[in-house]
Formats: sequence, structure tokens, C-alpha cells
Amino acid sequence: MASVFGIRAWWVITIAIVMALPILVILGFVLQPFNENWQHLLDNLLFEYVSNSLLLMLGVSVGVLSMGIIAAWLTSSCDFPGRSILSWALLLPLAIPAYIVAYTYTGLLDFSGPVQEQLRNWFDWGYGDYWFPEIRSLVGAMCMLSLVLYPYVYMMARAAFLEQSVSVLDASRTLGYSPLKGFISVALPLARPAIITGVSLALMETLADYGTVQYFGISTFTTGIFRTWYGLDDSVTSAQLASLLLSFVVVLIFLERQSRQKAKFHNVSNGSGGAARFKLSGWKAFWATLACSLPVIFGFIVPAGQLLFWTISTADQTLDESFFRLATNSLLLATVAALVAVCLALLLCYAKRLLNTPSVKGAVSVASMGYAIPGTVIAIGVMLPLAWFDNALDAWLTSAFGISSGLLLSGTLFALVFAYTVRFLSVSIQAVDAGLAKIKPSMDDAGRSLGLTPMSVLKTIHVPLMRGTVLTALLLVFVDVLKELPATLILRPFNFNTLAVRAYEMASDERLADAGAPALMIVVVGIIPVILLSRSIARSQLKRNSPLKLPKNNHLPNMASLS
Amino acid sequence: MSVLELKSVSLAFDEQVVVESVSLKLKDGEIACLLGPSGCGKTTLLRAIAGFKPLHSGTIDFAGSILSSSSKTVPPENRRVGMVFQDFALFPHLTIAENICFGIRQQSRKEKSHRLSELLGLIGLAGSEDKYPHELSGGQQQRVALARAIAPKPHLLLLDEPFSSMDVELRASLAKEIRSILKHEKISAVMVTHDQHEAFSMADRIGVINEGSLLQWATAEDLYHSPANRFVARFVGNSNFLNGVVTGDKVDTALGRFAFKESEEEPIAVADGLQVKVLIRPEYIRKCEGSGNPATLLSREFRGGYYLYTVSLHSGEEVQALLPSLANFQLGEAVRITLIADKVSIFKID
Repeated sequence: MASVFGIRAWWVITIAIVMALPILVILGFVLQPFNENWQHLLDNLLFEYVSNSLLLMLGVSVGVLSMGIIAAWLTSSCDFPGRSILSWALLLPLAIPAYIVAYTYTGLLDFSGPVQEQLRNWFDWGYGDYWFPEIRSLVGAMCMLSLVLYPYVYMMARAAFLEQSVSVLDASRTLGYSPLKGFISVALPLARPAIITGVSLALMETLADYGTVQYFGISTFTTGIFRTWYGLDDSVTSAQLASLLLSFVVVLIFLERQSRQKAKFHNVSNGSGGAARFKLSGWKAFWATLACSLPVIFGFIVPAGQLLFWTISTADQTLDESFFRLATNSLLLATVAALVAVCLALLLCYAKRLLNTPSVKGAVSVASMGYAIPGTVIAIGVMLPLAWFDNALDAWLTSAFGISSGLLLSGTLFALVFAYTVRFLSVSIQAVDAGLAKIKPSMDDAGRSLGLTPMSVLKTIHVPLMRGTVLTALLLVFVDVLKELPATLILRPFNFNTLAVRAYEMASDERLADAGAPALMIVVVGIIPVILLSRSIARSQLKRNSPLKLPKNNHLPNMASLS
Repeated sequence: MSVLELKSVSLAFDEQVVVESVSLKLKDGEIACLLGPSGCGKTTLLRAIAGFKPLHSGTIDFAGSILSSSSKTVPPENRRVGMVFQDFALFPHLTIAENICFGIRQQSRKEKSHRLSELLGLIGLAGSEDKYPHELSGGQQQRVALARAIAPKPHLLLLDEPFSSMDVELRASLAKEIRSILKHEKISAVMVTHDQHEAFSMADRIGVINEGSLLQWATAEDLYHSPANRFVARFVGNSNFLNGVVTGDKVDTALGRFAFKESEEEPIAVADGLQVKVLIRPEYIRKCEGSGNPATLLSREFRGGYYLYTVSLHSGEEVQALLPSLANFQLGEAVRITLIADKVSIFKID
């Protein structure tokens, strides 16, 4: 069939090379000689970048592990009031990018915010009379990131707990272990690979974050790259810094892959059906409900409520024509990027299915590397080669024909769409791959044996079956693009604004209330994939309890790109 | 002396009763088997004995103390009841040694390693202590699961369909092996299965369960030759039911007049002229010359050492007969057959 549709291996390899280009460029700069800025960085700043990034990762690990595991264990093995609503509501914080959560909490907890004002009113305090935790701090950033990233751990751990064979836990009880001891010595170690996967995803997002740390004034890798790029105007050093950040990411990717491998051995699912949940009552039930509600309240309800409040209170000024232009810009950009990413994903996934050679498979996994790479790094990796190309073309045209082409690619939407595609191609590939896996190759063969041409196999079998998949993939990329901040900041054409950039600019100008409307719009759209995700999880649980065992779907969309 | 005693145990899921008023006694060191079709409630009953399932009514006593009643359930971890699970439920993140020692963690190092090597020897897996469960074959995993369950020397061992994932040949040899290990360790056990052959090869005493009721609690021999009712007779082995009429202490059938025995569990009011069903196992039937009952061979099924013939009698009834395959009879051949049982079981007509 491959030759019928004319898909060639070299297409796939070319796409993979183009997608890998930004990363290759960044890595290429390691070979460049280090200049005096690097020395300055090394002497004064690098230690701070590394230590802050590491501390941030440590704090976020503690936060996401404690919230994620407790919530996952309670909702998967106990029964308490509100359990079924909470088990999907716990995913909601995924809809809010970390930087937006940071804006809302700053608005709430700042000196001039309603919380401190109320305290001052009650106790008749003045400035300096009392101590209040500073939200714009490293610990504050840890809290913000943990609040929106714990769903990764929650999701993975919950799936692992639910998949564990009931009898393994029963076995520990017949061997003299109480339910809690059994959880600690059996359920938790068994879920460890899944939990590590969840943490490494959360930490990748932490490393990629720019909006939160920038707003809180914490020097990390991403803010350092920005500072070097804009402040020192030194592309070499910022690319070198970016490649150092990449090495951290590589460690995380390695960790995640390793634990996914191990998870295969630890998968003891036997399809024997759901365990009876421990029914909690009285105070125990109260504490369980509280423990599962707090992450939802602080990770979603409070920030979303604050955004809503800001939007309403500023509606007459912000919801004007310029806001709708902004929204249109964002939606168009996200639509174009989603279409490009999904078309490429379809091409790559079909190539993989039809050709299935090692080179094609390798090329597809190279093309889906981007999900782990911080937007800042990709943006610089896109900017540098495109700017070089533009300059070279311009110089040549000027010398040969006396005309100037200006910035043809680097200063335009092309660069932006290219960067989004690099970053989010893996999201669409995962979605399309998962959909395609449901169409077994034997279905193609059955169609052919019933007299269909390859084209009509595509039309009558694949198109109807893939429709939902393609829509999901489009939606996931669309939302991710809408939330993306640092790459957009670096690559957007002059005077071109998106919702995320507007929110960022308003917050930077200390006009938090004006950031409300664009931020709320991002959150509202971001809820859609969370609902899709919770539905697909609910479906897979239904399948688990039915006698029909379907192949496990490891697809985990990169829901929150919070950078 | 009985160790385990169930008194009118009923179990329910959300008020729907799935096991009704089961009473039984297990003697010390005995191996019992709960046999029944799938969905009959036998696994639920086993889980109640383990302490995972609270009782709806009745009591479960163990060595004189109450483990479960409708008002209290001693949690599984405090029962000293070992369990072997259908899917073995080995802990995949622990080695074989760690799995086996999981339940004896409070013992000293020396005691643990002594018990470990003793058990590994018993299950024939010495040298595998550092392997992980996924490195073992199904039969080996099964033995490790057994060793883990009996390591803490439980008062009672429960086995839930322990052979269901094995192939037929392995089942027979493992059943024999496990029986001898249990006898060696002097552990009383209750096993659940839907397979009569497993039950026969493992158990001293078998309980047949159907639709939540215990129909019979007896030795394998009694179960086979004196079943409580026609369900048990059919569930355990092949069976023919001939029409019979009671005359005094005999019953008349198409194959002749025989002494009979009634079911103790479901007695019938015997009277002259009572119409009954008479159980004839296929192997009760022998071919004979001269004096036997005339019969015609209708069809046959090769069973290795035997043929299972379908034979029509002069009464028009058809029976199955197990005859040695060395003697080859032609289909349609008129033969004479006789019965070798001295007493036959009779049941009321339903």
C-alpha cells in the first residue's frame, strides 16, 4: 500500500531532520568558543541559575508527589462523599498555565491584595506591623507550579493503583499487613514507575516554565536565556545556556523512559475487576474529602474565580475591539499550527504503519522529541538559523540585484508556526498513533479481501474511524499553542499579540486585573481537553471492568504546556 | 476435632443473597474442596473465610473462636489464614526470597533464612531466591505463591482456583505435589475449583455448591457413588438416569432389579410403586453373554482405554456405557449388558 499512496521513507526522514533542526542548532553552539559573557555567567550567574532550577525541581517534586499520591490513593481505593466528582475535578488544574495561577495568587496575596487588606482591617495593622509570606519567592513558585502540575502524578498514580490486581493487595493482608501497611509495602512500590513518569513530566514542565519564574523574579535557566538573549544580545551564549538546560531535560527523558520500561514488569493487571473500596465514614471521610478538595480549590477554583472577578470588573475597558483582534489572532495562529502539526502527524504515522522500517520509526521518534524541549530553547533554535538564512538571502539579493528582501522568515508568523510545530508535533503524533492503533492491520486486509481498493479502504474504513482522533489531536495542539508563552514572546512578529502575551504584558506592567480577560479565555478553552481526558480515563476504566481486554493505551497527552 | 466451622453462613451483595445458609465442618489437617460451576458463590464463600467479605448472617468459627459473624469481622491480617490466589498475586517488585519472607518479616534473620531454604527445598526451587516472579514459569510461580502463603505457618490455607491458569498436565502433577506439601506441613486447607478432577485429586472432603447453596459435603467416593441429588450426580462425572419403580427394598429398572440407597441430604418417602430416577454410572455397565439385558449399540466415542458407547435398551431408554476399547463391537450390534453395582442411588422425579 505504501507505494500506492506514494509515501516515501525519505519524506519522513526529511521532516524529522527539519523538526530536529532547532535542537541540532542549539547543540551545535556547544562547539563554538565560549566568549567573555560566558565567563561572566560562569563567575556570577550560572550557580544561581542551576541552584534555583534544582531547588525549584526539588520543591515541585515534593509538592506534586504529596498531592498527587494522596489524591490518587484516596480516590482509587477509598469511598467518601464527593469521590466520583473529585476524581475528575482533580484534573482541572491542568487547564490553567502556571504563570496565570501565579498572577492570580499575586493579586490575592500581595500587600495590596484582598487577603492582607482584610487582615489589616481586622487587626488594625499597618505596613511593617506583621509578617506575611511573600508569594513572589522561590517557595511561592514551587507552590504555584505544584498546584498545576500535580495532576500528572495524580493521573499516572491513579491509573497504576486501579490497574493493580486486587489479589496482590489481598495477598498482603492474608500475610498479616494492615491496609495502610499493604499500601506502603506493595501498592506504592508497584506504582513507583508510573509515579516517576508523572514526576518527570511535571519536572519537564517546571524546567520549561518561563512565565512564573520571570514574574516572581527568580533567576533560572529560562530567565537566564532571555536575559542573555535580550539583555546582552548574545545569541552564542544564550544558545550555550540553552544546551545546558537541554542536558537537564535529557536526564528527565531518560528517567521517564526507564520507568516506562520497568512499568511493563510491574504491570500485574489481571482484569479481575475493581476492588471493593474501603468505605470511609465520620471524621475519616471528612479528612479524605478535604484532602482531595484542597488541590482542586487552590489549583483551580480560587485562580479561576479570581480571573472571573477581574474580567467582570474590567469588562467595560478590556473587552473592546482590540481584545477581539487579540483573540482572533490567537485562535487563527493556534488553528494554523494545529492543522500543520496534525497533517504532519498523519503523514508520519501512516508512513510508520505502512513502511515500518527502523529508519522510519527512528525518524518519527526524532520528530516527536519536541515535547520535552522548553519553548525558550526551541525559539532560539528556530530564530538563529532563520535569521541567518534571511540575512544571507538579503545580502545576496542586495549585492546581485540591489533589492532588499528584509526579514523573510525570521520576523514572520512562519517562524512562530514552525516553532509550535516542533514543540507540539509529538502531541499530535501521540494522539494519531493511538487512534491508528485501534484500526488493526487485519481490518485493511479484510477490506481488501472484500474487494476494496486501497483508496476505498482509506475512505470507508480509515476516514470514519480516524475522524474523532484527528479532531482530538487538533484540539490538543490548539490548546497547547494558546497557552504557550516564551516561544511566542521571542518569535512573534513586531506588534503581533496573542492572549498569552497580552496577559504576560499586563501582569508585567502591574496591571493584573487587565490580565484577567485574556487569561480567563485561555483557561476556558483549556478546560475542553481536560474534559476529554477525564472522559477517556473513565472509558478505559469501564473497559478494565469488562471481560473484553483491549490493548493498553499509553497515550498521555502533554496537556499543560505551562512554559 | 474440627478446626473450621461454618454455621448457617449467608453472604450478600447489596442485600442480594449469593450464598445461603452454608454449614460445614473441617477437621484438623483435612483438605477440603468447594466445587461448583462458575458464579455459584464458592469464591465469595472463600473470601468470607479469609475475612475479606463480611457475613450477612451466621458465624465462622475457627478453633473455637468466632472469626466472622454478622456483627463483627476479624480483619484478614489478624486471622492467620493463608491464601493462594487465582493469579498467584506474587509481588512483582520483590524477589522470590522476599516474596516468600513477606509474611514472616518479624522473625529473626536466622529463622527467616531457615524457613526460606526449607520452603524452597519443598517446592523444588532452591537456587531461585534472587530471581523475580516474571522470570519463572507459571508452575514455578504457583509453587512460590504456595510457599509464600504457608511460610507464616497459617492455621488454615485457602486456595482460589489455584490451577486455572495451568495446562491440564501440569494441573494433575501440581495438585499431587501441593497435596503432599500440605500434608507434610499438616495444614488444613480449603480449595475452590470448578474442576472435579482437581477436587478429586486434592481433597479429603468435597462440598458441591450450586446457586449459593451447599448441596453435599462428603468424600469424593460418596459424592460420586451416592450423590445428594441429580445436580450433583450430573456435575460429578457422566450419569444415566433410568426410570425405576420401587418394590419393597428393591427398585425395578430396564436393566433389572437392584437394591437401592437414598440420598441422606434429600431423603424421599419410599413406598411401593413409587416412580423414581435411578443413577447408573457408565462404568457400572458390563457386557456379558447369555443372561444379560438385550441392548443395541447406537454410537461410540473413543476415550483411549475405553469406548463410551451409547446403548439403547428394550425400554427405549438410552444409556451411556464405558467399555474397554480392546474389544471392538460393531455399531448396530445387538449385545447383552449387565450391571455390576450392588446398590444404586435413587432420586425423586422432579
